[in-house]
Amino acid sequence: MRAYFRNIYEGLKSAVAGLRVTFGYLFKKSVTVHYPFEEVKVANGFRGLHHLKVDICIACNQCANACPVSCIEQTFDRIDKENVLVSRFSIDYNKCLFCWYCIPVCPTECITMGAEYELATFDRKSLDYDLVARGERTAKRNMTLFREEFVQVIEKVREKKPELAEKAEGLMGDPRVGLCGRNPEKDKSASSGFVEEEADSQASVSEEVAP
Amino acid sequence: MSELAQNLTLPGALLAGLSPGVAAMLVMFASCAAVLGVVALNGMFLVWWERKISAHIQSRVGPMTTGYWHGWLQSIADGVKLLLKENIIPLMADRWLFMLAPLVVFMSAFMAFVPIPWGEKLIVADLNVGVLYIAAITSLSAIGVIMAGWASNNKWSLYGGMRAAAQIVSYEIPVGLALVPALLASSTLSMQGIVEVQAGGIWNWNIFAGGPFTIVAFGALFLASLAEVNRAPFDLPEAESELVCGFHTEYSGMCFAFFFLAEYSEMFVVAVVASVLYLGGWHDPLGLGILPGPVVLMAKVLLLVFVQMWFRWTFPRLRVDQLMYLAWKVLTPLGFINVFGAAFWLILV
Ligand code: SF4
Ligand code: SF4
Repeated sequence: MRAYFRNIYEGLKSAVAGLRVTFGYLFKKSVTVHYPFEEVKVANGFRGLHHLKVDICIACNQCANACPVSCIEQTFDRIDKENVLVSRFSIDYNKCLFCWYCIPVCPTECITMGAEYELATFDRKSLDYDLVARGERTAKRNMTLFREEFVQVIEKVREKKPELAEKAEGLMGDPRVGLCGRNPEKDKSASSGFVEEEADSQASVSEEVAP
Repeated sequence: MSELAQNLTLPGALLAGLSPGVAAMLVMFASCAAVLGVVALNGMFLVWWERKISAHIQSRVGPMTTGYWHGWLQSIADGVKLLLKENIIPLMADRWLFMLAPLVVFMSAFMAFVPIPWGEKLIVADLNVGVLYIAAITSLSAIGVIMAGWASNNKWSLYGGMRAAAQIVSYEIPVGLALVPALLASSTLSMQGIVEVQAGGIWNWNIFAGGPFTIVAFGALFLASLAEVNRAPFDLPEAESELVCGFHTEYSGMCFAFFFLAEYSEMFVVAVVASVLYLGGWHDPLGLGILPGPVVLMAKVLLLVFVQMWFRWTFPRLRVDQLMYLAWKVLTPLGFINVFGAAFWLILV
């Protein structure tokens, strides 16, 4: 008999306790993020879409080798001993599994993974991203700088490889194309300021490039 | 149905020109349309409201986009979707029973709206056995549930139907016993009569008429009526986590919508019964009589419905044996104590 009443009492007590908890939550702030209207904040180190600082990529193909699903493909032309024209750096997001393997192998730390994650599309083909096209936004300043160097280099190679020079000139109009193949140390100084260091870096480049 | 016509003083000129038979027919149709409108509107509102409450209890926000303001048109969108969906009948199901079951469930919910007193003169039909009528009609829905479970020819549905059968014999007695103290206090079975007895403020309400006994009886009525409308924590016939969706696993489209509508209408009806019997119906707590009756009744009913939803999103489902224990060993003795206690209280105090 005692157990019976005790049972009822316990039941009522726990019911009231539970009701109090849920009533409290009724007025707490919701944790929902209204996704398409609001941005979802990603954690630090989130493995989103890749970014490529195309101006310091040396087209060494290390990232493509590291990729377990072989989804990286580069198109590049060697302009001379030290300069490489990367005209296309494609990652096929149909295959990419966001494993991050391509990141640590890069000797110039030019490929990274960003916070973007919106990949939805109506067409599979459009998942074949060209990072040179994407990278243009992040590395715009350097590329302006390089374009001027680029002209010099083209002039240099014109005698030996006229068809390559022509192709490079054709690509010049395309703001997405990067001219690459440099020492990252120099790049740091180059990217730190455009106007002031223009003369400097150009001088050093011409020295380097000069045979 | 004639009460509504008199009470609403329907345009006399309109009815006078017609023969009495036609006039009665018109009034009947108008009443039916009114009840149907209330049922549908109420169902749509409660579905939206439940989604909102459940969401906020779980730190979500619920529907937000449809209709721009907190998804207030969500139920209409749901309704349109359900209307347009294909109504699938399983090959081996009992076709007629399968189609009939949702109608039986819906009809019982629909008919229970008839003797609800909305205001002093606002009632479709003031039956002199109103409480008995509601108690009888709402029990019919269990038959529909069992029919649905049987006709689906599906083991989960059948289990759901069986559980509904086991449940009805458990909760009907506590519900009946919990109704009695209020009837003792008001000495009538007519819904309107019960409300009239409770005029003049909160201290005249039946919940305080029998001292502690009527208060406890009100709690018992509320608990047992949760089992009557198959709401959590007594939603054994449905039991999503055990029986897929219980008795309406096989239903789709409009048939499913009928079950859904019936569930919310029944919630509303049992809340109305509780507030009419114990909480003064359309009388406001201060006895001022300023607010219109339907508004006051609606406020009380929505409060009780809110508590039903609050219960649903708080408590886990009971096992079958636990429900039996609660109904037979706790609520039934309590019901008898309440009946006798309230009776003595009413005579002696
Ligand atoms: S994240 Fe992995 S799969 Fe994607 S490109 Fe890099 S190495 Fe390949
Ligand atoms: S991104 Fe890095 S690893 Fe890949 S080719 Fe360019 S420099 Fe090499």
